[in-house]
Amino acid sequence: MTMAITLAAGTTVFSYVRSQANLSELAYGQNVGGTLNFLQERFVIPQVSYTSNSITIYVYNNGQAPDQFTQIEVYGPTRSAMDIVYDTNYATVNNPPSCRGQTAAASLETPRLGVLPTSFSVRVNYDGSLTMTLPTCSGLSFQAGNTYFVKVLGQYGNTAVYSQVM
Amino acid sequence: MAGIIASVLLFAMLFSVGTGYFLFINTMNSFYVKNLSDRTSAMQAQLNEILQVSTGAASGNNHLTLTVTNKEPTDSNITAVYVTGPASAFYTYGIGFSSNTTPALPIGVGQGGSATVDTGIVIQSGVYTLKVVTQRGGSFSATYPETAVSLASQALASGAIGDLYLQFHSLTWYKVVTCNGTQQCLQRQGIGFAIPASSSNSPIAFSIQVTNLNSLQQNITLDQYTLLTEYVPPAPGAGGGTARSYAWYIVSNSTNVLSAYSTFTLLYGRTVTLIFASSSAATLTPYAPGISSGTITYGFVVTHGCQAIRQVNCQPSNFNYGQVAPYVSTLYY
Repeated sequence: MTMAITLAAGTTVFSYVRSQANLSELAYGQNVGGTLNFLQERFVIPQVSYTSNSITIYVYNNGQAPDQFTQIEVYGPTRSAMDIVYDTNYATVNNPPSCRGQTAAASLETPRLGVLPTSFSVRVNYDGSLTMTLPTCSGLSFQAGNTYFVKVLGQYGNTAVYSQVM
Repeated sequence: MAGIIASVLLFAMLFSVGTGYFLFINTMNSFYVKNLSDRTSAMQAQLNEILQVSTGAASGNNHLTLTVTNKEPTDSNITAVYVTGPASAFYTYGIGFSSNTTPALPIGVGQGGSATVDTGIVIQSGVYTLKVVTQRGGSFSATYPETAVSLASQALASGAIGDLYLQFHSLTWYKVVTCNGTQQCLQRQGIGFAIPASSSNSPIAFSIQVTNLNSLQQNITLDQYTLLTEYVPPAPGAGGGTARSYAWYIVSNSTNVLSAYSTFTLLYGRTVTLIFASSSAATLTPYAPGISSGTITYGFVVTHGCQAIRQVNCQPSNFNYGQVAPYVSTLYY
């Protein structure tokens, strides 16, 4: 009787500890994996080019894995003059106040941001480019002589900021 | 019996679950350390990249060309070139683009080497801005036609003027005397443009103030062969004679107490005083040159060592800096 109880209790405890260890390993592994992805992700913006209503952003991947991008902020000469955030779904105009609002990203991002297989992707040691079109709004355009800033957010959390005079 | 079974179960649990967990954590930590190290190395390598880009027109076809010279202590790889031309015309070349240069990118540029590529753009009137991107993610710019500023910068970088700004009027001469029992100390005498010849029969030393104005804003580490030399050519117009030279090697100091030279780094933009007092490199051997009265000497500052290399890594196998700067004349009267 005592042996049976010992065996049953021991096996239960063993299983419980094993399952807890598995959960802990899984959580820790996911955390480390995220950190490793962050460390392996590196990219720079060497150049941009403008038209009056669009900006083409060139991205060079000097990391250790192909990369995708989830958000791009375009602003300048100050954030209060123009500030637009592009993400997977929308282009959100924060400034100028007269143009505030959201527009579907599909018509403004070429190719699209995000982590889908069809989204913009750059292979290791390759350059890639994507074009962000300004939402249609009176007074929202790139002006010659102004400096505009681009802040790109990689899928694993790295950012790169670049500025260039139009 | 139940106790034995419980013990067996407990130990089995500890060894299987505990050991497995420990090994897993250890492996994860190894991955983390390796990736952190790789990223740090990559970022450091990118910061150390020094490429000089110059532009030109290919003879015959008037194509826009660019020449990239590698001034870093390691090899570099050019992966892309961006060109913005007159009227905002824009061109891209390299990996990931449909266009490429001749020869095609990527192109490796070894340490101290250079590579010239033809963009195929027929030069029109106006300004072209070129940007070269390396495999490590560095970018380096140039314009065509080259601006006066960039030409001056290149001249500075190539040593035509010199990276070190020598403050002309700071030249000072000293007597070197024994102090504190066995130590050697500086005893300031005055500016170093004229020195009593009799004083040179005893050890003398010099100091000058220098500022590192390296055009790339990089630090310069001086090695023990850095010296101040005074050269005496044959007497002018005599049709012969004997040239002589005297040299004081760099030493270290704490206030006016001297010691043998220990490696020193000139930080960009910071003015420091260098002391020259020894007759041999890396030692403190006070020097009494014994120069005759009426001798006018030509002074040169010879600097040598490393640029943009960590002080601990500044060894003879990777010395990448050396300049000779004509500086002053000193009369021994």
